[in-house]
Formats: sequence, C-alpha cells, structure tokens
Amino acid sequence: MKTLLREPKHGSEPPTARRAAPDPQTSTYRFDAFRTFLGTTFFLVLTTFLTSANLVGIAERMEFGPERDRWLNAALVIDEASHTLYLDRPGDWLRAVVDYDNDVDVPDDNVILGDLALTEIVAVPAPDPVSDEGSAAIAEHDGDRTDLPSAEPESDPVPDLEAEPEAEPEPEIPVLRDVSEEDPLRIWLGGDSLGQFMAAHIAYRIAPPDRTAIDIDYRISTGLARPDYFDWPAHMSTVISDQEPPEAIVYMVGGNDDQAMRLQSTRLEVATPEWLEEYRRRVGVMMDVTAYADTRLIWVLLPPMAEERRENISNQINEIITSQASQRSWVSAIDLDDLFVNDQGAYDQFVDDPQGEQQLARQADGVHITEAGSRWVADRLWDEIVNLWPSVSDDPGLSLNE
Amino acid sequence: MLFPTFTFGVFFLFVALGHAVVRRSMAVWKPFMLVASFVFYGWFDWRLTALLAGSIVFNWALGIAIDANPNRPRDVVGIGVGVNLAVLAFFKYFLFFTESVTSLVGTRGPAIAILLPIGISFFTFQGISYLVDIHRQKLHHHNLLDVALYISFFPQLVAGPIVRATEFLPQIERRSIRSTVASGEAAWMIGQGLFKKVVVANYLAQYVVDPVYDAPNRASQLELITAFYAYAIQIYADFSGYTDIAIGIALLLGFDFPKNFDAPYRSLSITEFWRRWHMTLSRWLRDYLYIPLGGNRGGKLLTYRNLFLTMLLGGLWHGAQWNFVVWGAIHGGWLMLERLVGGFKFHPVLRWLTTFHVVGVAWVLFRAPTFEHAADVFRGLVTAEGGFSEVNWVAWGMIVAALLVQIVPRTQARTLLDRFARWDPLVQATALAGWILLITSLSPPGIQPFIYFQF
Repeated sequence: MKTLLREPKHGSEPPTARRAAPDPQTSTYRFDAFRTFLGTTFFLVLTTFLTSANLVGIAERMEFGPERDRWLNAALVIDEASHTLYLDRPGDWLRAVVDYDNDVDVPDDNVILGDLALTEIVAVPAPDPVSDEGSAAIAEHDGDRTDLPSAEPESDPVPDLEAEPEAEPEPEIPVLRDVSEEDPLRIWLGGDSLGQFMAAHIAYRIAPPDRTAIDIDYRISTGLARPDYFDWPAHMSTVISDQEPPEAIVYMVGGNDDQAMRLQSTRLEVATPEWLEEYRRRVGVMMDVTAYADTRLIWVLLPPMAEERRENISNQINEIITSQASQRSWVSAIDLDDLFVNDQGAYDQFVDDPQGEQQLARQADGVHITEAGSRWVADRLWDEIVNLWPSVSDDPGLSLNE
Repeated sequence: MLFPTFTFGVFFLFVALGHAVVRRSMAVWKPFMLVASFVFYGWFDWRLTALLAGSIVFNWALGIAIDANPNRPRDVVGIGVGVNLAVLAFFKYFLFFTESVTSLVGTRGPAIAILLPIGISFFTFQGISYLVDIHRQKLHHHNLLDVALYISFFPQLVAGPIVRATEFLPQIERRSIRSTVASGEAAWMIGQGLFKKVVVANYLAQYVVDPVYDAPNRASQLELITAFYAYAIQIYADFSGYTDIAIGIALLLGFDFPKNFDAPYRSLSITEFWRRWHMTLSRWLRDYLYIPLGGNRGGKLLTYRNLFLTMLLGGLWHGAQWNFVVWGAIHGGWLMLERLVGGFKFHPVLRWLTTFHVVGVAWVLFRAPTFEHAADVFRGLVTAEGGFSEVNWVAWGMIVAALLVQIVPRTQARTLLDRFARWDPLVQATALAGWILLITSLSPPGIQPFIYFQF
C-alpha cells in the first residue's frame, strides 16, 4: 500500500522555528512509515552488495580468530553473490578510475609481506660500521650509489634474500655525504600513530628547513603483524625505489602488533615461540628492504606500556628489533625506556623530562606519547641523525632544542 | 560507533526493524530506543554509559526538585547547572589544570588517566537546557524514561545538534510515533552529509590541511594559501556533514531536529555568520549564557561585554587551550565592532570577502596546534617562497564548489529535492545506494575522526 501524504509544515508537529517559514532545504512529502522501513532495509542491503569489496576489506582487517573467520566467510558469500549479480562491477570500475594509494592495499589473504614472505631470511653481511668519529667517515658525495648488499639496486632495491651470504661480494663501506642547502638531507619519518607527534616535531621544530627535505608517512593502526591490512615492507620498497630515496629512515611500529598473526594458513598466537620467530623474520625483512646505499634506518623501540600484558609483548618486540639491528650495520635501534620511566624505573604517565621538570608524557590510553614526550623522542632521534650527518646541523652533536 | 561505518549500518538495520515493529506503542518504543541509544554510546567505551546514566538521573531528580516548588528557586537550578558544568569541566579541563598546577607548584600532580567521554559537552548542554527550561516555566518535569531518551537519543548524542527539551519532549509525548516519514528529505540529508564528510573533509584533511599544519615553516606559499581556504571548507564539511546525517537519521525515526547549519559562508557579517553556523550552539549560548549575563538590557557597554564574554566562553568550550580563547575573542571582538558601527555599509561583495576572511583567520588559530604554528602560517601566507606550479586542482575544485553551493540561490536544489522526495522510498533507496557507492569510491582510504567528537 503506497501512501503519499502531503502535510503542511505547520501541521501536527509543534516544535521548531523552521516551521515558521518555508525552508528551501526541506521537503514536505511524507510516506507511510512501514514503506519507509522497507526502503531503508532495501537501501542497506543494496549498499552492502554494491560495496561488497569494502565489506571483505573490513572483515579482513579484524583481529585473527574465529569471529574474523565468520565475518570474512559471510562477507565473501556476499561478495560472490554481488559478483554473480554484476553488482560489484560499478564499484570495480569506479575504484579503477579513482586511484588512492593502491600500493598499500593487499587484500589477498595469502600475501604476507608481499613476495618477501616466501623467502628465507638470511643474515646480510654487514658493512663496516661508520666510524665513531662520525665526520671522519664522511667524504665528498660523488652522486653514485654504493649499493648494499645487492649489486644492482637501481633495478631491484630489495636484497636477494635467497642468495647464499658467502656468495655476496664484500660490500663497500658506505660514505655519508655532506649535507648542504643545495642538496638537503632526505629524511623519511613513518610508522604507526605512536610516532606522529614526534615526526611533526622533528619537521617543524628541530630539522633546519634549508638542509632537510622531510617526508612524513604515518599509517594509523598498522604494524608488522597484519600485512593484509598494510604491508610495510612492500610500501617501503616503493619508498626506497623512488628516484631520490630517503637517506635517513626513521621508523616506529609495534604498538599494534600484540595480536595473532597468520602465516599462510597457520594462525600464530601472540607471543608464542612461533609468533616470536615469525615476528623476528618480519622485522629482518623490513630492515633488509632499506639496505640501500647511503641509507640509514633508525628504528625507534617501543616505550614502556601501562598494561602489563602490553609491556611484556613490547619488551619481546624490542628485543627482537635490537637483536636484528645488531646484525645490520645500517640499522640503529633507539631505546626510549629511560625517557618514560619514573624514579622507580616503572611506567608512569607523568615523568621528569631531561631538564628535571615533571611532564605529562603519556596519553590516557597508556600507549601513546603526548606532545611533550614526543619532543624528547624527537631530540634523541635528531641526535642520532646529526651523529650520522653532522653537517645537517649548525651545532653537530646537539639537537637544536638543547 | 561512527555513522559512516558498516557497524553502524548493521546497528541501524536492527534499530529500524525494531522501530517499525514497536512504534505504535510508546510504552514499548521508549525503552527500546533507550537501550539502542545506550548500545550506540557504549560501543565507544562501555564504561562511559555510567556517566551518561548518572547525568540522566541527576537532571531528572533536579527537574522534579525545581518543578516541585512553585517559586522555581534559583539556588536549586544553580546547583543543577553548577554540577553539570563541574562534571564537564572535570573531564575536559582536569589535565589542563593538573599540568598548570604542576608547572606552577613544581610538585607531582595526581597521575590519573582521564578518558574524555565522547559527546559529554552535548549531553551536558541538553541537561542544562532541561533544568533551565523548567525553571523558566517553559516545561514541566518529565518521567525518568522521557528524560533519559531526551539526553541519550542516539542520532544527536555525540555531536549534536543540541536539541532543546521543548523541541524533543513534545515529540515523545504522543501516543505513538507518527505514521509518516519524510523519507526523501532524510535520504537527501544522509547522502549530503556522507559526501561532505567522507569525500570532502577527509580529502582536504589528509592531502592539504594536515601536512601543512604539521610543519607550516616547510610549506610553500601556495600550499599555505590552499590550506587556509581548505580548512574553512574542511571543518564546515566535517561538522555539518555529521549533523546532516544525524538529522536524516532522526527523520527516518520520525523526529524533527533543528537545523544546525544554513550556508554559513554566504554571510555578509559575523553577526549573520553566527546565525548560520552551529546554530543550535549559538542559540544555546544566547539563551543560557548571553541572556543570563544580562544580554543587551544593561546599556551598550554591558552589551559589548556580554557579547565578548559569550564568545570567549564559547571558544573555551572547545577546549582548555589559549588558541580557542583567541578564536572566541576574534569573533567576540568583531561582533562588538559590527554593533559599534551599526554594521558595515560597503558593497556586499566586499562585506562577503571581509566576513569570510575574518572567519578564515580565526580558523587558523583554531586549527594550529600552537601559536607558533599559527604565526608561521600567517607569515608564510605573505612571505613564503615556492612557485605556483603545483596546484592541487582537486582541492581547489572542492573549495570553489563548496563556496558556490552556499552562495548561489538554492531554488534549483529545492526543486531537485522536491522531485526526489516524491519518488517512492524504494527508488529513493536505490538512488541513495548508488550515491554511497560513488562516495566510497571517491573517498580517500581510512575515516578521519569527526573534528567535533573531541569537543
């Protein structure tokens, strides 16, 4: 039964002032409530079918477990039905026309860390570390890359991880160049939401704009546990193969990784030996993707966490990162523990800053770092960058905030 | 849960089904909708529902106390308003005070993790509205269920519009929810709101505004100019988009919500701007702050003071940061100036340009994380280097289109809406589903949080 009623706006309902005068934005046509309910239901169902690819994406991003499996199965059934009914075609066509950062979306459940997932991690022979004197190791940059460890990185910046290590030629010692206004240091700052304030602080307050070119690339809710949601090594390989790849990569993830992982079809429960081994492998892969001439990876470890469970996992993640970094001379792991503990050496939301002033360092969730805390992290990271490229700063060895 | 998500879609399907079944009996409909509203709110964090419940019970009890005394005692309503504001201040400003005291006294403050309850400003304001309207004898106290529904009704719970008790309560005093729905208008509002939020606001935030405001000293002049205009459009699209969806959802459930935005960027003065921007907050501030302060009854000087104070507090309402206070001061100061000169008399185009740019300058202070960032934006707008070669045409297209939509006469839009509203709901549903498909395809990845959720 179709009921189309035309009600005067000043009819039975009293309240708003907009009844006093006709409003160009409103309509006076009303339908029977039940018919509207049918319309609403039809709308929701049709939208579900038309956007079924999004639905599958949402289900895939859920935490691994039986609930995700149920949702994913349901979403796949809807997606299949949508495909059979040709309802997914308009969406496919529109997505092909509008292309936002498609390199980040890897919906195939079997793709773990891109192609690198299928490779075995092999310790990459480390080049000699940069001289402790810093500036002693710096020579005039001649514009050519000294590639690490692959012989032809321009065509394939990702190292051949299946190669036998002994077959690799002994890499040359990388030369870190002088930074100048004509050729500023290329810095890439990225990771999950933990480092966002820190990145903005480095870009805005610390790094001199005339001697640095900064790219900020944070992806909220990402990590290494869920490459199906965001594949960091795959993304990094596109970053590093840019015509002008970053020289300093400052990277911070792990805060979202306290969850199960999936390796092919096997579910790895968080913090089990299998999980830790797989996480170790992923950290290694991520580090090796950045093994490129004149590039240094500065990996920021996780700060102490408020919750005991998170803290335990964070400690294990930090150990993995530290041990993997120690095998790669172009990687340094930056520890933040001392910045975020109280006098008793435990997590605290309020801690003293390096000048001894008490500050609110952590957000209420016990995970994220406040702007004040991020400043200390930024200072520490900048010191590391200046240590590697002293000419980037007016005052080598000191951050501008000190 | 956020409106533009699949979770909300599933939630609303169940709500719509239940609503259709029980709407003929208010005795069943009210508890049903109350449970739905608490589920909606608890989805953010279930612990917050205790605060919402506490606010409901407190305002209900105070409403009875105020109504019981024929003299409507000022002290009781004063206690009610005071407690509401104290709770709001505790959650919104506690850390600000802790930090201030800590830095002043130099001792460790209480390290309490404060969770800012989402939408607390909005439901607190509605609670105050309920008490003051009883005190002003515009309303009698209502039963607990009605008050609970008024304060927690999910379409407006977390970011408005701020609905007065005198607008909402009469709509649930009937014997049943009305039997007809303005489905065309509802679909129009929802479609419009989703487009504003998911496409326009998300794009401008991710690709223009956020990168510039992170480090304005690194942005080129063109990037700064683009961000200046883009943020004016972003905040409008973000906030008005949310309230459009809220109004549309309320319409589907048979409720009329007051309008919250009325093409604010077509204003020819700041006075007019505040009649068109966040209209439900403007009238709340007028009715429950400006008028109690004395309004325009005490002569010119007091009127100026009251105007300025109202805008200053309106700024502070957004958060305990000096940039919000300065934002309020700019608006308050300009309102005073307009009143002082009796309104500017120059050509309408010049008045429009002036008004839009005063609002834009104030937005820079609103958006910038610190005054230093704001100063760099202003400095860079004039002196920054960088060519004009890399124009973000998409952003400029959005900016120009958003302004044109507000400036040009809306007869065409009205005709279109009228035609759409006559279609059968199933046809409207099909059109809206197609529109959503377009929106999801055009939207950048991820959903940015609504700006006004933090307030």
